[in-house]
Amino acid sequence: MRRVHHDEVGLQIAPMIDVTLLLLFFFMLAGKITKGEKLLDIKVPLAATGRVPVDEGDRDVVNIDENGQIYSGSLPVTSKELTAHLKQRFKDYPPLKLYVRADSATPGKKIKEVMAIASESGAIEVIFGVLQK
Amino acid sequence: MRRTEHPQIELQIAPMIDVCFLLLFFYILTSKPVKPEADMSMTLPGTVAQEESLDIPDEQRIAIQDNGQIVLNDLSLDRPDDRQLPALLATLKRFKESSDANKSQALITVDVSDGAVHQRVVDVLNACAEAGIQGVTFAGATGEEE
Repeated sequence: MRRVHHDEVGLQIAPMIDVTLLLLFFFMLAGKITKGEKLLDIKVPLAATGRVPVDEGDRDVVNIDENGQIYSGSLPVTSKELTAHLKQRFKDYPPLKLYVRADSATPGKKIKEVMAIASESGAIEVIFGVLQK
Repeated sequence: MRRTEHPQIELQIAPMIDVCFLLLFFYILTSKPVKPEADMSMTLPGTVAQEESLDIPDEQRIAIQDNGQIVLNDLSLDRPDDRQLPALLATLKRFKESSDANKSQALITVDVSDGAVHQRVVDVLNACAEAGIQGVTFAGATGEEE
């Protein structure tokens, strides 16, 4: 009777290290990106009808925290500074779309203020950042 | 003359893999999935391209009070803590149907009180979007109203 010889199955270390390192770099970089976004601790409101955009270009981001502090991008600004910035932005690259990331607890007074600034600066569209439910 | 012998330096693979795995587990456990943000857009008044004929739109005014109470044309609707706003949504749907039947544009003006929170504003915009109304403006956005 012939005996069947099985080939010895060895653990391949090199590809395992490759994959491990790739995963490691992925999670390290993903962690860094998430940290960057969390610099501004803004919890955007929930809305069922929000649509995730395909193209996020051609828009200027304004963040408003729960205390009403306005940020152009991640830079804290006053209303006057934001108006000047948006006017210049509209002059250089029209049309201007304004992406407003306001905290769900931001007072309505600040929302109205930013809307008035957007209108004064010549923005045609204001987009509120929301999370889908 | 004596030659100096340098000890041979070897790369230790096993501890490197150990450290890599430790770091990998750390990052996997501490990472959180990031939900993509969605858009709720609105066009600002006075900047819409004008058609040749000017139809006067049907306009309704929604006020959001400090406590979150929704008031549509002096009529209080829904509870201040009700996020779904069923009464407002039903009214807006009827309003949209009526505007469509009259071939006029349904327009909503949102008047936000200074103390109302942004989530409540988004709730109202959400109801408008659900009713199919796209013409939403903010009172005070142009600095003319209020």
